[in-house]
Amino acid sequence: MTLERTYATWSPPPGFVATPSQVAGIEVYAPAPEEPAGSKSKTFRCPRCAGVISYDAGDQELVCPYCGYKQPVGARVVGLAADRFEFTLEALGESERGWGIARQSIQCASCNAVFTSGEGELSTTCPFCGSNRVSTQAALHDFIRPGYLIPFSVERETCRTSVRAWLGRGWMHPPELRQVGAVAEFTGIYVPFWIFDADIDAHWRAEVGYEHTERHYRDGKWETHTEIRWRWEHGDVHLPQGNLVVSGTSKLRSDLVERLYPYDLTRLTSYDSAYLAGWHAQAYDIPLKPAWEVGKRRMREHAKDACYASIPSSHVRNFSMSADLNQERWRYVLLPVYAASYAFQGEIYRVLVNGQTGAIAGQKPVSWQRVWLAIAAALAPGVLAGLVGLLTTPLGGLGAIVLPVAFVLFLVGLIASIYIFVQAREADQR
Amino acid sequence: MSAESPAAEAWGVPLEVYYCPHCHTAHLASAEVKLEMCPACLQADISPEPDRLRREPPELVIPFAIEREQAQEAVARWARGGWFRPDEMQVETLSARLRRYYFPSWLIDSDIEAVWQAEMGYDYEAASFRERYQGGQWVSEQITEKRIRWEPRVGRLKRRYENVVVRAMEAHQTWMSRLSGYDFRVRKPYATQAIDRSVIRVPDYPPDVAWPDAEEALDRAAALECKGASQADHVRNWSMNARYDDLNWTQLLAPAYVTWYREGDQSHPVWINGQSGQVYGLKYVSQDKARRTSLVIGSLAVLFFLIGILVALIGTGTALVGLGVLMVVGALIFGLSAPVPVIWAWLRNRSLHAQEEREPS
Repeated sequence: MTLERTYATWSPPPGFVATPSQVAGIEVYAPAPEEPAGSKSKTFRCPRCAGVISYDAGDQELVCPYCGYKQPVGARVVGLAADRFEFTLEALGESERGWGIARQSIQCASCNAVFTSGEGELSTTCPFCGSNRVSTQAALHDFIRPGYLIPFSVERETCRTSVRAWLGRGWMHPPELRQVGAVAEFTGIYVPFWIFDADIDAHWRAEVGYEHTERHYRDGKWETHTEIRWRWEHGDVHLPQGNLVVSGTSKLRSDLVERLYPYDLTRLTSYDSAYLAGWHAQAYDIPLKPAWEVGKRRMREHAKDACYASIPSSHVRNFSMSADLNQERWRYVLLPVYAASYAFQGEIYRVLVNGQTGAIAGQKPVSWQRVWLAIAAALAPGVLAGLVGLLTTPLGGLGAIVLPVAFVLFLVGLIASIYIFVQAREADQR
Repeated sequence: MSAESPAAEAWGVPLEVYYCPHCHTAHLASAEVKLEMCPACLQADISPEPDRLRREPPELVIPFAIEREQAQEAVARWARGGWFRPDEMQVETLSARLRRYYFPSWLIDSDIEAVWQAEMGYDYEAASFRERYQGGQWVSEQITEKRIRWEPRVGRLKRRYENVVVRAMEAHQTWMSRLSGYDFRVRKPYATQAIDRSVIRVPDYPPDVAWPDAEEALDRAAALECKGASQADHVRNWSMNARYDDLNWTQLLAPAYVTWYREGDQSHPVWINGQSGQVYGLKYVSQDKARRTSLVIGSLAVLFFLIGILVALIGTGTALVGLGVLMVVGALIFGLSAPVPVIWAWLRNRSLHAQEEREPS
């Protein structure tokens, strides 16, 4: 920018707006604050037939289901170049305040009906006229707004088919699951996530043990003696940690959400309210600070592992380390998740599907009857062979051959049983 | 000079203008101050030159915060101690020659109409984190760091700036550094009593030569105000396209005391900051005293040498020969140190003289 103009002919450059000046006679212009996309309530209606339009995961466009009108969404894919923010005290403090508005009254722009949206909901559908309405009005009162999202690219029908297939998979689950057709409607939700980056400079110090083997000739024979010699060592590890994803909602079980990872963050797209049309979207209820604690815990464990990996011995004691985190940055994004539930034998089970990759994370009941049968089947050869061996022992040397074989079979069966049991218990606890 | 003279018109009192062709400085002094030599370089061929009077009147004066007695004490402390002190470096002599002196600076007033742009820096605090692992436990530490966020700002400015200080002497910075600077905010309007029995230096630069400095100073003042207008903590990459109107040049006077002492055929000034009491002067040593000391040492060495030879001759064949030889050797060593005072004094004066030559007055 050059200052070729004089006082009388000057006008502010494009994109600059007047800001309050503290000194009379001085005008100050600053870059216009970025208007958050969808900062105002927006109702999505077809410009051709006035029908309700919504974002279509298959077409990746706004589509009118009535007349077939399609409208591309103008947002651009920024990927990993998406803006990252520092941990300013302001950001840490503001995020603690959360939404500040638990529920908000909304007047539908189409039918004027007044209804309320749920806590932290960014988008909603008018229950009276079915208008898709996206509002970040509540977010405007908040310091932290979602700047980026990954749009849904897995269609609802694909999701339904793959979940059905997933339910029918696995021998340890009840076969009736295949017939469960009443999986509740899949709800596409843009779920809030925090993404963290940091460079870690770690310094470790520990006693490292090295095996030392000596051979002695004593009393006419060679003896091998191994001892561990300890010495203090230290080292430095530089570990860049990028794109660590931490859930920003407590409304979905974190263990299920973590099983949806990874998301392809190179598809991060600038926030545009059009992507939310016809979909649910939640704002964070886990603020930046506690989410960062989770991210930091993971980062420091990675750093600890990296320090251990740099030690040239498996014998380590009195280990201590410090990890300086530099260039700490965060992003607040919305990632696509389908959520559904189904009822089986009086119990409700949850299923989540990654709306970008189609990965499934969910709960499936375990048929313990089948598990016990499998365990019995695994143990049976060994037990039976043992009985045969015991019975044939008085008959001569045959039993002496069968019994060791039986013992081996029993051992193999036992290991298989333990494995099956652990697997079944894990599946049951999910 | 009559009351109707240009000096009386500008300064309110009749003043003589003296010019020194040696250091090319001009001074103003009232009739009761007998200016026989240049107060800056102490050369005696000073001559009245009324044409060198600047027409821009004095407007503000930094008042003397140091009384004459305090200045005398400061000079006394400065003159105390040291080898081969010149005879004239006595408290009484220096006090008797003490004279009030004013250094000039330009004060410029200007209307500015400008278009400006800059990067304004805003302080903010950010958290950084350090994790420690010891004894199976993690300890987290949050460190708060102050950082600067730079943002572009542009704007217009239409203001009048008054009394912006601009240097009026070529050696302004040198003098500010020698006398540890002045607080230019402590100042009061000029009154004729302020320059009573004082010598006032005439600006080296006329306003047209000082204008680039003035423009820079006005820009700095504008940048500072724009920073304030933007509520910023820092400013960088400042640029301004300005029109300066209604320029008005006046003078600001900064107080000092000056005295001098003579060493050999050279006179050397001693300056005292009239606001802070800071003293500046080069402490030459007396070449004569050093020469006399060398002579005494040398004479004593010769005397001991002769006595030593005499003792050795008288005591030939006795133990006195040893004493004589010892005296001769001692006298030779003592004699070798005789030139030290005169050489040291010469070297010291030479280095001070070189320093004086290097620095402008």
